[in-house]
Amino acid sequence: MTGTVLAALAAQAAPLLACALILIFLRGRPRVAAGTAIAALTVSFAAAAFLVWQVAVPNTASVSQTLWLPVQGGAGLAFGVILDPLAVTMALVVAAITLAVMVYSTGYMRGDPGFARYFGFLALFGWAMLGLVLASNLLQLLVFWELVGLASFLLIGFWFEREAPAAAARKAFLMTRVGDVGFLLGVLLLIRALGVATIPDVLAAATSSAPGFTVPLVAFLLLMGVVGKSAQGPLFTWLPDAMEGPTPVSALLHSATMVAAGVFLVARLHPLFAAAPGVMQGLLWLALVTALASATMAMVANDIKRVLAYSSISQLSYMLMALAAGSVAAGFFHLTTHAGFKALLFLSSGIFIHHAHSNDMREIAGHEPLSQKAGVIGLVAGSLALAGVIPFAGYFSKEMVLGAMGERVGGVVLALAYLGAGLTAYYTFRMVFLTLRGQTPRRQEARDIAPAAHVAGHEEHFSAAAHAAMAWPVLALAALTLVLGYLGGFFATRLSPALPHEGPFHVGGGALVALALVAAGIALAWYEFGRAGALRLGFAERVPALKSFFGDNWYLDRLYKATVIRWTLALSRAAKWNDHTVLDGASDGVAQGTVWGGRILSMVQNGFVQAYVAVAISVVAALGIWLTRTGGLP
Amino acid sequence: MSLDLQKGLGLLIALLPETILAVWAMALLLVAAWTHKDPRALRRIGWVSLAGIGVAFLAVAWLWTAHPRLEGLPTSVAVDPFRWAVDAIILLGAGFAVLLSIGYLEREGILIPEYYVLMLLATVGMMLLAGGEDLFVLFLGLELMSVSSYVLAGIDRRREASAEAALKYFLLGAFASAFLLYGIALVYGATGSTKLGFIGFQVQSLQLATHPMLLAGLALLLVGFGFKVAAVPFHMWTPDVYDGAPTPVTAFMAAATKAAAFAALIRVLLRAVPLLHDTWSPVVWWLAAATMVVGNLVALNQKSLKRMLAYSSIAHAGYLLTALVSGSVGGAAAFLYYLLFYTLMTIGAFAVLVYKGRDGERTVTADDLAGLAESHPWLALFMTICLLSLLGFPGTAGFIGKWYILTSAIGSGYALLATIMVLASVVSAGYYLPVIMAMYMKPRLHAEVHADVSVPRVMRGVLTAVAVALVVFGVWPSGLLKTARAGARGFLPDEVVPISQGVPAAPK
Repeated sequence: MTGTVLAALAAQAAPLLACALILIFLRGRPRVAAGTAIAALTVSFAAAAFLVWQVAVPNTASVSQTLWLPVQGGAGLAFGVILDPLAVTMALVVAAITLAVMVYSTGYMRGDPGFARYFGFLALFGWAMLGLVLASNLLQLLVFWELVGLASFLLIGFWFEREAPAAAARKAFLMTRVGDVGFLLGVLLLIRALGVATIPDVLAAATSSAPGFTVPLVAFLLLMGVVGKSAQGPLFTWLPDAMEGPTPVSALLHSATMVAAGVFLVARLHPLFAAAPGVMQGLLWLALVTALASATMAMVANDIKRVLAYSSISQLSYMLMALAAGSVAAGFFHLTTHAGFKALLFLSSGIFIHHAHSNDMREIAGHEPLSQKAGVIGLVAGSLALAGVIPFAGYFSKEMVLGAMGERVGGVVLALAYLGAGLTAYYTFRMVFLTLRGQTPRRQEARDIAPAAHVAGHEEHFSAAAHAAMAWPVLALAALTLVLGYLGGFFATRLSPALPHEGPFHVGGGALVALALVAAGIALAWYEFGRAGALRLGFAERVPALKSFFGDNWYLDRLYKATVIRWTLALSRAAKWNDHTVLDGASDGVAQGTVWGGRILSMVQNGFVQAYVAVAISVVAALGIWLTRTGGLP
Repeated sequence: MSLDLQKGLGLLIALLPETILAVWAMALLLVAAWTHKDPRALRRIGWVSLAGIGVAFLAVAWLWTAHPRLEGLPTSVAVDPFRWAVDAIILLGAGFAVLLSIGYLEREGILIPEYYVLMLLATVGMMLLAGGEDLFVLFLGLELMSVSSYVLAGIDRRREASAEAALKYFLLGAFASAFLLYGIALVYGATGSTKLGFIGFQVQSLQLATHPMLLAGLALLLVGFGFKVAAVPFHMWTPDVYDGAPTPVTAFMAAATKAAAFAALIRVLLRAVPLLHDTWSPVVWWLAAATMVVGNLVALNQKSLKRMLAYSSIAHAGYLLTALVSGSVGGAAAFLYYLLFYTLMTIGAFAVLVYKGRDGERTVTADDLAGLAESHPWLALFMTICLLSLLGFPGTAGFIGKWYILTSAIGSGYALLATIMVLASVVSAGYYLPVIMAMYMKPRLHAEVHADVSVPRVMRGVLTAVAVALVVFGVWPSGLLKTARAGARGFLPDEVVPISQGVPAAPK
């Protein structure tokens, strides 16, 4: 076993061990639990950094795995690690963000009764995501894919004793589950069609020897899972509700884990998807619509976390558009920079929420937001990156995405993608101005606007140590947004040669257009929200119909309630009736019959040796007759 | 290493484990003559017996790793990995049973040092039974094992149940031996030999596949073995005997005796009459199906845990028979894997009864274990792991074993039998899970109800090791599966020494 494989195993084993230790032994010792989790992720981070340094050769994926269970006539169940630039880079991103979120959480979650459990779940989340990233095998990928879903369920519903988080966790789990069904079918179909499960073999076989219709079908089914996990198209509405979880969890969920899993999967299996151009075209359009739709929703939201949630959906769409257009490097680069600045935005918004005890931007504005230095720096730097202002990270990656799209898709799609970039700048700075430059609103009214404003667990005094624990990760990530942007070349050289059909990048071709649109968006936001005496009402908010349409997730939730959810509930009622009367009756009958059968059989067991011998002799006689009849005896 | 069994030294090496254990037993018998009614001496003899089993185990391990090959003509004793594997399992079971007995005999006032001697002799018999290549060696091993077991079952003769168990066991055992012996005679009559390899050769060269005498002999052999492995409908002695015998003896019989008889059955079927597979596989099929169904159904109705475990061991005989039906090397490998963990989990479950029960444990029910998890969390956890493994719960070795049996059965085209096995396993949840539920979810009757349950320190280590093994091999089975496959490879045709020379003249 080489050093790299050991490092990959250590990166996964450390969080798993920490999770087990915390949940079994350290439930009552919050400080030790947090320390254990942070130490474990530090190990993962160091191992991932070592891997990034070691695994630098593009075009080669080294797989080392061990056969866990042989299956007669099948691929068997194997577990192992895959080491290629994509996997190790993603592992580093995951470990870094999780580590930052954990350090931040020691301050944010201080005093929460479930503190230790929280860190156990965070470690579980880190393990699941690292396992997903390093999985060498489709079945293993599936296992960790589900574990990621489980971990996010546990964390979104962390304050399960309150109604809203429990409902949000349920919604997240069920909606992603809709997509996961497709994912499961896709994986099984793929393994069945190809007879192999190791990822490089699958990719090689899928692009060369797979039967005609398999690849498009599998690509479609797998994309169902991606759409669910990465909150795209019709399945995105779980993500805004997932804001009910603790804010650091949102930071994790929206940056390097959970939603990133879907995008990562597309990058991981990109040759397979590229072999189904029709499906990729569909993905492109779906992502485009999602990007614009979620941008409009972000334009009217007043909850700072909801704004960020919609922006995540929109940015994920950009990543998927880049992948659908054929550029792994661009999509993955945007994933990385987005992980950095979105975590930053959530963590700094957490500082304000902690300070003002409210998620509502207008109420935050009334609590002297400028006194939170780290928060201000984080929010501004993150927003500049998200809007795509040069020289922040988001600018470079978004340029790469738009450039890659310009290469392959033209016309309307490209124009709309640029429009989306402008909208992003608008809603991002609407958020900044609303949060930081507001006048004090009347408290009573603010209460009415934001009934969910009272975040639990924050009642106690906020100590200086907790302040520092929250400030340092924010400042580190803020610095990172200035640096990450220059890594575009790194991604292009490491990832693009792995895919021969990838062309060169022309960053800067449309850069002026994009920058102009961004400037326009920011200017509009300034006019409407920032300048002294602004009405602080956006253009979309002035039209009541638009406001309620955008603010209500384009009525998708209502549509689901009126149709799918209603049908499902009706079905479940029918199933319940069937369960209680038909199935329970039948199974009770079977159980009764089984028990009675046993009783009758044990009556034969009467304790007399003579009876036993009689039974045996009659069986021997029957056996003799049987042998005679089958031709054995004359 | 190559062995020539025609020479004395070769034979001695091939029989080294049996020889060691037999000599050990004789020596102990002499010592025991002076140590009656002395608990401390009894305890000492127990430990010395355990040491003997350990030495025999080392001998088996040495032979296994030395890979001895036969030179010259095959004789009456097998020299193949399958034998070493089964020997190791038997010795594990015997060692476990001796450990259980050490405290038990004093507690129940059975101050009889010959108990251990009989256990050692029974173990020798089992090893001969599992390693015999000649029907007479098999029979000798069987009788040595059986006669010792009859006495062991009735060793607590002041208890009526124990005496009754011994008598019933003896009567039906004699019956079974008669069947077996008659079967041997008929097979000898048809083929002119009692050596398994020769019989196989004769069946092939003289085309005896439909010879009535051979078929009748085979049928009687199957009946005889059916009694010994407690397959339905020849199982009826089992619940009464297992219930009446002292619990460590029950555990010993349920695990080691059954393992040896099964190994002999496999050897006879795969070495002597592989060509008659079409004839015997339907019989084994029906035996397996009936054993699984009846064992599980009747177990549902048992109140006494000891009796429930007796029926559960019948059900497990059905699972093992399922592995045998295909007559393939894969099936034999699955059999070996399952046998090892069946031994561990069965004795493990009986061990908990030994520590909880008093006066022969007839009266321990699931409700008597209520709240055990509160007062003895580790013992309850151990029992839970054993029961889940018996049930075949994923994550335990029992699951992997069952899964391996199922794939071997399905792979050979016995899908219906595999289905029956799965359904029967579902039924078994109906009697394993209530025990776990009682331990964890029901309150203790009063605070002191489990006060007298204490596990000796050595046994704590042993039980922990068993639990760890059940879990570890349930999660990481591949290494051991490889060993099991290697163990079963002895039945591959190319591993069998050519026997064309020296065949006796065919009878006419």
